[in-house]
Amino acid sequence: MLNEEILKKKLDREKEARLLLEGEIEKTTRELFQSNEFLENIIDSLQNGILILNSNRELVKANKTFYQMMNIEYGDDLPPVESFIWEDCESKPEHELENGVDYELYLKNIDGQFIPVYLSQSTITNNKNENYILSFKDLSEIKKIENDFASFARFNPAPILRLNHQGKIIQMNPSAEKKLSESHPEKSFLDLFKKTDSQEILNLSKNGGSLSETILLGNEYYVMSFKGIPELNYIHVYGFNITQRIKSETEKQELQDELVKQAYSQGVAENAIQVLHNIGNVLTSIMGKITTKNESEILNRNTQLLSQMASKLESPEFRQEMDENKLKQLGALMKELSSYFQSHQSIFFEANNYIAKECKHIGDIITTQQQYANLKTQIKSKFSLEGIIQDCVVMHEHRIQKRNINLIFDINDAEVFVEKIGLSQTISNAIVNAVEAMDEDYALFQKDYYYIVIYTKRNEDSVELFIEDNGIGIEEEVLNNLFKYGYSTKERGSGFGLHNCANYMKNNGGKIEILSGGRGQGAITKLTLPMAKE
Amino acid sequence: MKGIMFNIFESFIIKNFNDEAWEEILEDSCVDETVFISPRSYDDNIFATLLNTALQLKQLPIEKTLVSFGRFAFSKLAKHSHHLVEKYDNPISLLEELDGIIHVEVRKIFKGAETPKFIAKRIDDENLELTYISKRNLPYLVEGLIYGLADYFGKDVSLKWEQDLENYKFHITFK
Ligand code: HEM
Repeated sequence: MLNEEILKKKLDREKEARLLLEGEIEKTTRELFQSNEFLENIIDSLQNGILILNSNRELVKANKTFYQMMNIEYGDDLPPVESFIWEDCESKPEHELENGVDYELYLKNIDGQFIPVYLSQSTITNNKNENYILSFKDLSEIKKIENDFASFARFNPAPILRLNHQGKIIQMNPSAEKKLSESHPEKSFLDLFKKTDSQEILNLSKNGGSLSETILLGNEYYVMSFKGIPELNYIHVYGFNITQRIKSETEKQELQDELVKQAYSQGVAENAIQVLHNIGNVLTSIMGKITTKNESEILNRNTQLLSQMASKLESPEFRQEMDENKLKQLGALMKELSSYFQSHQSIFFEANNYIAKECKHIGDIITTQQQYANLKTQIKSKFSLEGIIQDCVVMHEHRIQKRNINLIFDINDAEVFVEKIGLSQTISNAIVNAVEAMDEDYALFQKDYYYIVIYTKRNEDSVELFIEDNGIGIEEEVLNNLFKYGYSTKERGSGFGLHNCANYMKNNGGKIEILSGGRGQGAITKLTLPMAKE
Repeated sequence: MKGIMFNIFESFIIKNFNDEAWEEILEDSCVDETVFISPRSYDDNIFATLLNTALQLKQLPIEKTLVSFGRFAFSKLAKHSHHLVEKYDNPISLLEELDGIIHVEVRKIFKGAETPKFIAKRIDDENLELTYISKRNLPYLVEGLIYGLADYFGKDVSLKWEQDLENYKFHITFK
């Protein structure tokens, strides 16, 4: 037989095996889902409050989260469905809800508290009967972010606004109101920006990130900085008055400090949101993969099912209550399918590998984020340097891998004593700068090999952390200005620039230095940190 | 026999010969099934036919082939079910729990798997007596699996076995 013939036969068989395996998975999944116990366990483990109604819209089941939201002991009687929906809301769920639409309304719990939620409905047909699943996503946290934003804005002398995804102002503080009505009462807000493309600004609401431009309002200069909040589809706009800076060099220092303080508190408040952007980025790139390879759609469906189920299965409390054997069969099948994908080369499988990997990556980002989201204080604490480095790397792994950069560690762990969020931002900043330096380098020189080396050196009571890259490097003249406020060689500022890093390091008893032999010579960010005392 | 064993056998042939060899075996043995997936069960006879065809085509002795297949198969099974194997730090404790835990778990994962029965008796930290009871009567396969097990733990092993009525009694020493 010819080689090609053999290969073709082999591929045909592999394809058939794949289809059979998929069928097997569907079958086992179906069996599992048919067992009520399984369904109930899944429903109970969900983060959203879930109600299942029968075709007469009578309550069949409510999950644990829903009981928690209602503040009712799990298993106790629930009040009738209509009574816990706030009567004033525009759409009441017991009337025709459209499947797949998010309704924003309030859930009234047993204590009479109103919990802001998104409600969405889906219909499942089971043995010819229609059942309705109502899912309540608790928005309290998001509302809190919104309120925080509002109160942060209200007393702020700087103009602060919130735009929706169409660029319409939906909220602004008194200062913004005053400035805008004084100077440009008739213009639409985005028209004030001559250099920045409006569409680019609007895209921030979808993709996150930030942009800024200096404009003249009345007779004062403002740096207006746009920041996309994709979770809420908003764009936040912060104005920094730089008139004084322009007018008087002597007052510069004071102003700078003030601005740094503002930028810092913003940075801290928005740390939580930043990492969610990273998740968004990863998801976007997955979506990209999916749409470019339309033939793999079916596989994608399975892979998604696979990874969702796999992560479910991994949680121990979930496993305990399950029909052990069925679950194990399914787990084994899924592993089988995924290893099957991995061991065959063709774009088909490549896409799936990619997705499986990225799903894990998302998981890592979320976990990391959850650790930091609760830490909105500026209090110093004692923690492992290596741990925080790993966390920062996880947050940016996506960018590092996308550019095929070799990441090398040589870390001798030490406990440091500083404020944690600032350090995470400083390290992140160094990593991002390194990655961007390689982008620039690649555009010019296309080296074969790019690396970031992260290593430490311990001294008596301090530890030095080095983040070294072989990117484009920095010219001497630029090096001298790097830490000045507002100095950036990038078009898109990061919101927590080197100036803030330097301030942060100083306030925490450390220091930051950036070393480079010049253009084309790579760069090293060196952080000196105080070690925690025993 | 579960599809996974067929998959492992296919890899075994391809590794020792090539893709063409497996193609030939499938063709010459005229079996109905040519695609095997791990969760499904297939008739034992198909396996036997494939094995016999392979032996004939490649002029292999059955005993040696089964031993080396067993050795190869263990590494694959251990990889597939690493969560089961990882708990053990030596081959003797694994064999002690083969019947009571590992194959029990295997039967949960592979619906309809027919695993053999083993009775293990630890003599001391290096020696073990293992009785193999199965309608399939594959002592050479067991021998190979034990070699594979020793490879996995990086141990040297020596063993003897004798037939004891319908069963086989293995005397195993790991060093
Ligand atoms: C990683 C650990 C192991 C796993 C996952 C495993 C799994 C399996 C599976 C899936 C089968 C096929 C059953 C069927 O097709 O119906 C099987 C059969 C068999 N296993 Fe294991 N096994 C393991 C370890 C061992 C060890 C260490 C031995 C021997 C010392 C052994 C001896 C056998 C034998 C001889 C059979 C053939 C069936 C028979 O003789 O009836 N297994 N095993």
